[in-house]
Amino acid sequence: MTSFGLWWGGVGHWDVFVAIYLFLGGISGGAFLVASIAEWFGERSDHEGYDFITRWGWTLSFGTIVVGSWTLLAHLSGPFLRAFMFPVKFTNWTSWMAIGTWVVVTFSLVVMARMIWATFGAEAAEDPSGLPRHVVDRLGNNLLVDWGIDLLDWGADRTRPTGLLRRLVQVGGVALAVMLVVYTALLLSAVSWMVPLWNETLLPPLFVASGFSAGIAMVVAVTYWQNDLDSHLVHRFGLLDDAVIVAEALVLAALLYTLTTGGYGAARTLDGLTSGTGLLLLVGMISAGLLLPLVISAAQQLLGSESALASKRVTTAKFGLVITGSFLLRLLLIFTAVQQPIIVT
Amino acid sequence: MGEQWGFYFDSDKCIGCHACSVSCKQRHGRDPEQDEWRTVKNVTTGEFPDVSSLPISMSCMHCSDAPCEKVCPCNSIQKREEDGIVVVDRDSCIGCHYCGWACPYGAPTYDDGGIMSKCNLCIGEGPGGGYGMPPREEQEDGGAQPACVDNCVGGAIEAGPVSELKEKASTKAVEQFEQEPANVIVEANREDTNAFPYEA
Amino acid sequence: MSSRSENCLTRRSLLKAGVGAATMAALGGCVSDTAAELGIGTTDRTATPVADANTAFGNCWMCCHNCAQEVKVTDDGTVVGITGVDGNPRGSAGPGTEGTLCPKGLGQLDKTHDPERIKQPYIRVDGELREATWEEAFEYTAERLEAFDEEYGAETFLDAGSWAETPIFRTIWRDLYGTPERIGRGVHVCAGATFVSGSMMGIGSNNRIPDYQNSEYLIMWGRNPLESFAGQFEAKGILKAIEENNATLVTIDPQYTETAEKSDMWLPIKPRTDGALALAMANVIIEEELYDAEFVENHTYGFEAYQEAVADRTPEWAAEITDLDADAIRDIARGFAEAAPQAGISVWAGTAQTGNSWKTTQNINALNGLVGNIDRPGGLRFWKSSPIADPFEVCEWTPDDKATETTIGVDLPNNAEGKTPAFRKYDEYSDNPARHITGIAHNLVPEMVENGHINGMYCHHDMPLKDGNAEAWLKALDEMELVIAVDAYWNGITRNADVVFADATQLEKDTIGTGSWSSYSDKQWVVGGKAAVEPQFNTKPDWEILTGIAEAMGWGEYFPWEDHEEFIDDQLSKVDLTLEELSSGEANYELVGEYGYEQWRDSDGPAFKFDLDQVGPFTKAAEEAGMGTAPEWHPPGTYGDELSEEYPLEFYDIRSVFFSHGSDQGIDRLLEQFARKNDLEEKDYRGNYLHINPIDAEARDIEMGDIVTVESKTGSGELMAHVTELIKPGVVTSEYGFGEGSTQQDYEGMNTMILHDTQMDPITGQPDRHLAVEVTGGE
Repeated sequence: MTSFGLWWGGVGHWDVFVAIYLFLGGISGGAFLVASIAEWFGERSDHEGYDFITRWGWTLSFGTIVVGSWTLLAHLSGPFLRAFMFPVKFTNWTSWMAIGTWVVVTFSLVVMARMIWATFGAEAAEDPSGLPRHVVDRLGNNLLVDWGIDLLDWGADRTRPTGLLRRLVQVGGVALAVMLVVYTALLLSAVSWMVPLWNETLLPPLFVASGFSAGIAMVVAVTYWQNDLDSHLVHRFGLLDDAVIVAEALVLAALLYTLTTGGYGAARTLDGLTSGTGLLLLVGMISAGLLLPLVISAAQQLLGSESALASKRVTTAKFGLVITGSFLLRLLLIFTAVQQPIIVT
Repeated sequence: MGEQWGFYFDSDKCIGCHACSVSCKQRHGRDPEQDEWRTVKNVTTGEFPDVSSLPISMSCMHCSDAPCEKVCPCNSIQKREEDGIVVVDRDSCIGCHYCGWACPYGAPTYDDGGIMSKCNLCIGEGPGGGYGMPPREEQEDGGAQPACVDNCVGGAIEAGPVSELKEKASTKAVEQFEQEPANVIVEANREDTNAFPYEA
Repeated sequence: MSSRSENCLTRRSLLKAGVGAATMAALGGCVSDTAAELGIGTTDRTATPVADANTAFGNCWMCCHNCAQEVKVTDDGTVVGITGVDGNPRGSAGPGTEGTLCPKGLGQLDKTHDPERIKQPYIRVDGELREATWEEAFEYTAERLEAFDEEYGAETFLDAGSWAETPIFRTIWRDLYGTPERIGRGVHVCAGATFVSGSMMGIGSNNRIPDYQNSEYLIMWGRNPLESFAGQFEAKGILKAIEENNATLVTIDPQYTETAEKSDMWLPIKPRTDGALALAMANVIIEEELYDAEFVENHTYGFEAYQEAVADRTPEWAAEITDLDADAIRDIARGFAEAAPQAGISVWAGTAQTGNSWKTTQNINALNGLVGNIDRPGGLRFWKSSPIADPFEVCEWTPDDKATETTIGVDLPNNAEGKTPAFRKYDEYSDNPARHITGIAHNLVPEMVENGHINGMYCHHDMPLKDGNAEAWLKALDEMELVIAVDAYWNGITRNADVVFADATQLEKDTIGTGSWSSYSDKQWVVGGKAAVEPQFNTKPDWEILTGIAEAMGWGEYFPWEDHEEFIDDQLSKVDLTLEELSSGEANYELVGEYGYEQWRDSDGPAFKFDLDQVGPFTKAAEEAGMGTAPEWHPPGTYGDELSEEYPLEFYDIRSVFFSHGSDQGIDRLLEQFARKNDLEEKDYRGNYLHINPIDAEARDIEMGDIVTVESKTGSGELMAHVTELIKPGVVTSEYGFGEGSTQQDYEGMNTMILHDTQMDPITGQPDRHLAVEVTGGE
């Protein structure tokens, strides 16, 4: 007999916390990029909407990376205390997990600094986009350490970089944000030879596109509601979002296509994606993250800004769908990933 | 570097009795329901009556270029210079399960609170055993016979320095072995079975 | 069972929830961080408890086949390691080869300290079992036995002491208490027809174990010795014959087993048609003159009748009956005959647990006489046990009343003399031909209890509930006046007993084995050992239990030995050994004698009989059962169930490598491994499985892992389906020993005998385990 059998190894080494982390890491990087773009335009325009977006961008980027780091720790099944020893323990520079940890740490520091510079100090904004300062203020009042806010204001004004240094921080921050998102992809694709779904060429652009599109959606939606952002700006960022989504769709299509030729592991992945929970995830991700937002945008474009479809709620719903899609994509990548089998002939 | 140690597995002699798994768990104080360091599976193919059900026993292959070692962020996985045995330092493992994804053979297991443990070719006893132990010795020099080898009813599993194992193996098995990163020589002579395992 | 994998999950979840709080602790600076301190297992890398422990020996009694064990014991008496002994007769492939233990044997490590064992004696008071001291239990037993004798008569007390590690249970129940009622294993529940027809034809029960290592052609007929062996040497011997003699291996089995996997030819025969296949093989062998004419001529009886019986039994005739290919039948007939005498057939329970088993095994056995492989190298072997002395004859002792004089031997009475077992005594059983052959039939015991012919029982490790009509037996246990049980585990017998003696297990007692078949084709041997550890909990070795009962009954004078070791030393005196000598040094076995082939030359008369017309008891039984004395063909249904539209599937039970009788059924490690072997470890179920072909499963909407109902016309039960291509369509099987009454605490799975009533082979009374069933209940 010439037939052969397959020995499938264990499945699902990672749980939902990893998926949440990958999602939050992506959206945090994306939010940082949106903030950087808005900052760039804001410097060249009088429109205060850009400032709102910038401040919300730093704040949301910071919030998501903080929660994301927590979920990263939560997925570790070992004694979590050890994870705090990473400066000493993470010494394997061939591991994307070790490299990535430093990216996360550096990024977190940069985004925190940018958030503080943007929302504290003598010229601090009174509007809702100055949320971090409001929070510190509120906390200070309750905790009777009202000098905390003064310290931060003082510190922000003293340390806020200017000139060339400011440019360096801007450019470096963008680079770190991109690295953050790219590393979350490389973390997976480093074992792509075992896991066909985690294609090393396609996963980085897919994650950047997904993180960026979700970042835009989150930051713009929040600013839209909190600062009553000008719908013109919302529309422009919406279009940018659509372009990113189109790119994301193309990469995803390419990724699914690679599964048709990736051996037994790929075939089994494809089986998983076309039945049961896998199918639900895939259909959910494509509809929520790609198709529906594009359809809504197209309809808004066709029917004009006066139509009911162009309402604030519908636009927000669209952004919500984009964010959902981004999360579903991470769930999908973690839970439908299949390791290559051992072939027994 | 000392000589690489490895396993030898002859599928013609494996009777699928699981004594290797049982004895491995006993040697290393592992509970019945815990994931296995050495596991046996019957790979079944065909339709009645043209069927085959090949029993295979597998554990950590102590790969020459161990993928698990590469991805471990903490350097907790170590490929030993002295004997090529891949061991894990459970004092620094953070339980990230990254090695689980990287291993082609499903060797890493996670329990006892999520720390990785796996076959250490019986240079130690228990999940913590292995790391930091003196170089592997042959049984006649006082080294412990790996539990699976010691209790293989069919005599299908052997362990030793790779050069010694090669001497026992058929040319075909050695040729196959040379192409794989795994340090396990697999014998599969009978007509129906010609090659195993790893082809991804 | 319920705790399975939950601990781990709980721990993980806890860790996650605790991240926040512990972060504070970490920031507070108390980062202490070794795995041991965190309570997640040892990090003492130099701790090697097994390597550091002391060595002792054991004699594996999990399936009672004496594979030698080497154990590692710590100073505080804990067994931490277990393995085989190199070169030992039953657990290695012979001299210079590695000794191992199968999963059952390895299970002894867990069994020794298993907290689920029966930890002390119990007696039934006011209907409830309550804890008792040994003193109490012995006294209580003696009182009950005396009262029983007075009221019902000792002759109505059944001795079912099958797995004792000492022979004195026979002394106590037969010679001293005086009962003729005795039920054992071989004939009564294992392989009645194989055993008895073998003996009558001239090959004894040796038709089970050919001379593997010297063989060139081996037919495993309804046997799967790579998984279900009488000592690991069987599996090892077969592999060795393949490797060294390039032997051809043939497996005849409706199921594709590990043995089939290693075979050159697998014949998935229709169950219960083996007799037809055997006749057709003989037809080819005689037709093509491939038989051993010299042997047949000079050393056999009844060849003409045999010749006549197979005259028209062509492979084509058999092909239709057996579902096999006529050419395949020719192939194995020729292969077997040409390789003979270095060709052997192994038969045992597979062809014996059917209604038509008598003729099946007679037809198969006849092939050996035909090709003249009897007690010749590579053929069947007349395995010879080691000579040991009867301690009751050789012991030297000083009676209490004659303080100075030494006496040799013990003058035992024979209190069972002149008593006839109920099976032969009463008319109620006169329509059972088996009464001419045997003193009891397993499936009739419940009826005997109902009739008041059996009123009590001594049961030692034996599990009648897994070997015959289980429900009737359970009822009978309830009705019996007195049930004395000796066992290590709670099960259907111990839970229903009036006295439960907590037995120590093999490593906690002195043992000896002197068996016959082994990997040494021409050597006699003894294997044994002194207790490796103290009896665990408040248990005692069976020797002490039995002598304790004897003492309480006033029979102490018949047991002059200080302890079991002294008794064993008397046994070993014939081979000039002591138990101490046997179990010190590197190994715990000795080769004590040598014997040659063709031992049939030593006795008068034909070595082999094809026709049994001169065997008195058999001719009577055969006549009553309506069968001839020579080989002949009995289609399924002649005796036993016929498949019908209502019950279209044939069910029978099988064994796995993980379980044997009742001695290891409840060990979690083996249950877990058994589930893994069947790829169903993810299910929260650790019972037996119904193996069913996808064709039969799909027709009934059954999927892998479904709980299904099996129903015969005499009973029904539920178990989990294991859908597999490795079984013949139309046949379903399941591992025996599970379910109600088993040693498994929760009785998970189906007691295969729950489907049963009194179906049996009419000649030997062996339960017929092939039933017509229907399977329903896909989810």
